[in-house]
Amino acid sequence: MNCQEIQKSLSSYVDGVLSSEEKKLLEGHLTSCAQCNDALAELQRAKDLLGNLDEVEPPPWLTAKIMSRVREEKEQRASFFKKLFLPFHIKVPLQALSVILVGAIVFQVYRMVEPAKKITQAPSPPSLLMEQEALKEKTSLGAGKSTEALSPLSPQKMPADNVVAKKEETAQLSSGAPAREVQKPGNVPVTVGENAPAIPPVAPEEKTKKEVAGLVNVPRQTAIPEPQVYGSASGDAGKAAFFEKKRAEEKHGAPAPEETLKKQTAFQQLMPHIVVSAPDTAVAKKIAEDIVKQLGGKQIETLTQGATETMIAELPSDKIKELYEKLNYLGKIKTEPQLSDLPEGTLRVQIEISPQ
Amino acid sequence: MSNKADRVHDDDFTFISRCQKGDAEAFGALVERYQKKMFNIAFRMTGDYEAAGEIVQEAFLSAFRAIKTFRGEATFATWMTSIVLNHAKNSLKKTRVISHYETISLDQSAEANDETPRFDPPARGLSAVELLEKKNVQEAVQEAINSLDADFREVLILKDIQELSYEEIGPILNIPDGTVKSRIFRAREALRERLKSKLGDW
Repeated sequence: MNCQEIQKSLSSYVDGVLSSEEKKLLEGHLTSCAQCNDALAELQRAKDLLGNLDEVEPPPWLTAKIMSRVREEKEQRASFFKKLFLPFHIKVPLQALSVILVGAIVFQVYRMVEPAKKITQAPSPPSLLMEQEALKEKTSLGAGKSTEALSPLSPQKMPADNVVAKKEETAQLSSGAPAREVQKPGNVPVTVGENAPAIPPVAPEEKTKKEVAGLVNVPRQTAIPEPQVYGSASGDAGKAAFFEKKRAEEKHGAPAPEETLKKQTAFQQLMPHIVVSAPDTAVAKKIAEDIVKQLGGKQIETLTQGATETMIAELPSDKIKELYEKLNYLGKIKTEPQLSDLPEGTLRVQIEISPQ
Repeated sequence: MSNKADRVHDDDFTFISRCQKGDAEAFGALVERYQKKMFNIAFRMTGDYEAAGEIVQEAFLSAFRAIKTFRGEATFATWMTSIVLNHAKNSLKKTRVISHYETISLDQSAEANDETPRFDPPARGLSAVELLEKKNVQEAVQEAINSLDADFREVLILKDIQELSYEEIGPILNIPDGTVKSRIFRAREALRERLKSKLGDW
């Protein structure tokens, strides 16, 4: 063992942790080596100096200070936990309630808007509205099947067709077809046969079956002798124009008078129009209703405009002649009886009872 | 001796478990019991009476915050000592950084020393000269400690001041026994060098 190794072990020697063998070797070296003896003495002195250092008295307030800080800490922690968990007791139910409320409101609004959405989305006017428009007409022109031809466009009855109609409409509008032009009857004489508005390929509901049957039975080539308002291109444009007006109406409320007039001209040829003048229109209307019933017909729509009563009825076309005869008892028929070239099947007629 | 240590350990543990159940006042007993020991460790680590007070406060507060993590694998004294040493080392790092940037003011140093260390009353029978001599030596030793690295300071404090065994030091510093031994050797060698230059004729 050299001095360097010995001095390394001195630290363990003073601590008394050397093995007896190491201790013996070291002590043997120390007896003969003054340098290592000095190192040991210095080491022992350093150790003693450290060991003899007096204990320091901590400041008397130390424990109290520590404990006051500990209590402070505990209170803070408690309030921290309160803050952390308080929301769970109070706010969460509030939040949940508000979420439910908002959900309910949204659902309610959705439900309220839904039907309105259906109406505004409808590209063609509902048949009912069309019929009402038709009722306002003052002249009776055109064949009944015209109504039939248009009725499939009504959104309730032919939803699939709506899309087609809408497409046609937009196509026509974008192609710049002058819609106004078409509204003047007789300007564009077209025969329906060539270009009848698309008949719906499928009758989606049994309700429409009868109508479709009526449509199919229409002898298209000969049906309308007069110039037809609704033709292929121009007819579509006409529809487009009509829908446009319809939309404007929906937006602005009641249609402007001139617009109504245009619409009326557009529906001139929709169905046989019988104008009867009677002394008491209200009574006459009731009688007319009975007549329609007797003839196996069915009343579709009635409208009262001042003293004038208007009724749309559906009845077999072979009963039209009888209708004229019976209505004749009611009062004077002002319009020319239209009995020839009537399409077979069910037919719609418009009966207007005006005061004398 | 070991019997007494076991009894203290058991006693500590009842206070600790009360603390863990939320009884903050039980912690007071532990503070009372260990504050002097911890203060001395902090004081010898820093050589600064005031700083030692701060370190001990922070260390006990840390222990209180972490009391629920104390599982009794070591004694409370061991656990607490390692917390104090960590706080002391952090404090040393901070003051070293500060002193590196701060210019030393003569007024400031005079003011800072207004709270002087209170030592235990010295053993009777020492003359005034002997007392002065002793005080000088003690200050010189502390200065020598202050000049050492923190790693050396802590092993010397634990081994030669607190008189802990190698086996006790290992867990506190979280180092193996062999490292404890070699570090103590190197720390003593370093201290011996510093004392030689400070005391001269020792």
